[in-house]
Amino acid sequence: MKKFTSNMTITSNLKNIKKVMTWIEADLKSFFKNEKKYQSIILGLQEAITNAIIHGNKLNEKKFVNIYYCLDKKLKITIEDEGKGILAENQALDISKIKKEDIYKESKRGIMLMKHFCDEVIFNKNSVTLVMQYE
Amino acid sequence: MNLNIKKSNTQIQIIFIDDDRIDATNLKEIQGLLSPYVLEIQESELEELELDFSSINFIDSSGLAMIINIYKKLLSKNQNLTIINSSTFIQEIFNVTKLDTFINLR
Repeated sequence: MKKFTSNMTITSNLKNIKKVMTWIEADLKSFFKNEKKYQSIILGLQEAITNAIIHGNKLNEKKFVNIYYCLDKKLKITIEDEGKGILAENQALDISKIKKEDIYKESKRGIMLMKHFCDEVIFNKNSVTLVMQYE
Repeated sequence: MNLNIKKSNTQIQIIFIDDDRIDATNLKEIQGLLSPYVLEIQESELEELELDFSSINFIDSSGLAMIINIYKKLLSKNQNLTIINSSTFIQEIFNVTKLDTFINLR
């Protein structure tokens, strides 16, 4: 099959996430045979972009978030911001090991959801790549 | 997002309409819409706030944080938060985050 790539750059405003989702849905939804797989990558993407805008770029609208996808045998979506990267302790968060006292906390679920619902999450310096089998 | 509100002598039921997401993009709007009813419940002797998720297809971690925040507010007066008609995928999100251990899902 052909290999597709595309990218979109947005300013760090949460309202722009909808534009990304519209683009991803138009380009990629039809390739997914399994609805749950599609919902899962969308959840991972939502969490990664929100994290990039809020924690990476500190909601500074002069800073950009770049979203790049490559559709080959697997779908890989990379979300890059202008921040300092995700702390190692946060990268290590694991939803299956959530402690009872942390269940009621209102934060830190984003990375855990990303890791649970995507096949693979690769953390780089100031980017995150989500990997998903789509067939 | 808009809300349809139904009140009985035991609960307030809130049905989300006109939007299918509760996430970072519309969270402030939804919090603003919900807060008067959360306050009304807190100031009443009602037993329960029921959120109808029939139209909701997507919730992210910021939406979950909002749900936990409402739960904590109601807990202080021993009132319940119940979510009804949630999709299978949303139920799984509540399950893996263990929110289903303290929020009623029907």
